[in-house]
Amino acid sequence: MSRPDPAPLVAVADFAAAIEDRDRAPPGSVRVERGDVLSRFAVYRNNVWVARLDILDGLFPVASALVGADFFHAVARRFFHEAAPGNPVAHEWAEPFVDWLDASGAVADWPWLVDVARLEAAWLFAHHAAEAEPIGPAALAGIAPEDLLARRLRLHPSLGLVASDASIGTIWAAHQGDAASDEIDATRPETVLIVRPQADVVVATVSPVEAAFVATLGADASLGEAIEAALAADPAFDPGARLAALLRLGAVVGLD
Amino acid sequence: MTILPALPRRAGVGFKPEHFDAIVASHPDLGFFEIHAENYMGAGGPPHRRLAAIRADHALSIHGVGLSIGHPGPLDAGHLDRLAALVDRYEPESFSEHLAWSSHGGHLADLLPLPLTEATLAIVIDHVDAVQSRLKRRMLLENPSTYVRFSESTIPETEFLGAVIAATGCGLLLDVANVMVSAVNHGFDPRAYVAALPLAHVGEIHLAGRFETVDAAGLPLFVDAHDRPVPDDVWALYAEVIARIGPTPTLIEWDADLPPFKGLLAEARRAEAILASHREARHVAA
Repeated sequence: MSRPDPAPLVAVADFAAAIEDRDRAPPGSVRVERGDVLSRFAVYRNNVWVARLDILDGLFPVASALVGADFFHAVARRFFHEAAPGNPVAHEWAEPFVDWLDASGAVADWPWLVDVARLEAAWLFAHHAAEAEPIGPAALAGIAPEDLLARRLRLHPSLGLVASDASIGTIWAAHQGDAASDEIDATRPETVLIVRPQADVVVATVSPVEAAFVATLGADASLGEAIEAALAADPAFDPGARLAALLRLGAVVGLD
Repeated sequence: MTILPALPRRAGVGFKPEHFDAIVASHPDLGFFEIHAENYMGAGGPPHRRLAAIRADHALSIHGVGLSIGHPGPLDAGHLDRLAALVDRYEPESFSEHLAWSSHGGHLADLLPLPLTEATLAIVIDHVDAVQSRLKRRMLLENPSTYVRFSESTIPETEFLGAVIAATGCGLLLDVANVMVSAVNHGFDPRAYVAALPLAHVGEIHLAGRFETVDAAGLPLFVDAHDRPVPDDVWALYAEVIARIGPTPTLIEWDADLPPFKGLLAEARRAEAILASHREARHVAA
């Protein structure tokens, strides 16, 4: 007998609730033709949780390695219970996860873990960001300096900045490749710039003033305004060298 | 609805980034590649660079795993828009999705079963209509592998699929491996199940490996794991299906514990041999 309209939604909601909660029995309407209903329902529960945890492991290999799989999975389970993303595009779970990690206090004892995870989320953002062709120094060569200062630099759509009180760039780099270094000084503050000018994501450690300079450029300031702000923050700031470095990184895609 | 070029009636494989270099180096003679739509919903980057290179040389099937067509709530319009953008970008020969749901508030990253009733039939028909209207093309709907059923179900799965196909004009993605998994799990005759499907509407076939275990009652429990070669009983049923409906685009699905590319290719060759024998048989008969 088919029931009236609310039935399908109730069936799905009950099913989902029993997957989310390991201690909850399968809904009463779930049945099997033969065998044990709990074992069979458990296939779904297992599929869901293995897939979810695999996805987060894949998005945050460094954060996961730093705390160990068991702890990372425990934190990940809490995330899904408290703030499971509805978006079926898994790589886009990275930012919501980091925001939750930060806000939930789940790793309050290890604030650097949030920052490392934020670096990994920025890496993923860059990896999947739109394509754009960087410009080189030649694109600026014919422009008079005073005209150049009035222009705005268009930054690469993949570009991101992450600042931390910990050495997140060093920590992250130590976990790339085969040989993970176990003696790193993780206590120096570091800011990283992440950009993907072509196929590969580049992670570069930058000074705080350089990060502020890039952030100001990204906030639609003219080159002159951004330089002025940087010099005010740090009189030793070298505009020519920093601009050349940004161009070398492939972080600039145009001039407005 | 626009009639688009169909997949070649040959064997294809799922495209995995791990195999990209081997594919580029070997230019395999395959009917098509299939991708999971949700892995290509970023704007750019290596995923799209690789896919564009694959697409330039091969027919393409886009297989959605996150649209949640079987959920009774409204379809995720934003997700459908992204799917439409992906379909516009790559103009695949085929788009397919599942008779299943995968999100309820939070995304559950699995293909979950629904009660098969008049109420859910009306919902699935609405959803398939909405997908086909938005994508401006016919889609294929895949028969699920399932581990449990619902006491409120009143419509046999084959009849349910047939009704959706009749009402929407969509095609059937016949997953032969799913048929065998469900047949063992629920104890039905896989051949009777296949015979009850609207076989004239099959647009693609899926074949995959499975994990075989037993439940707490000691009875066989097959899990649709896509993590090993296609088992012999699936090959046998596949050959019977091809004998009956003729050569049909056939995908080797292998999503976990990936073999080297040549391992995947060997499975595709096996499907290709079955397809070729029936291509010749039909030619002689004609």
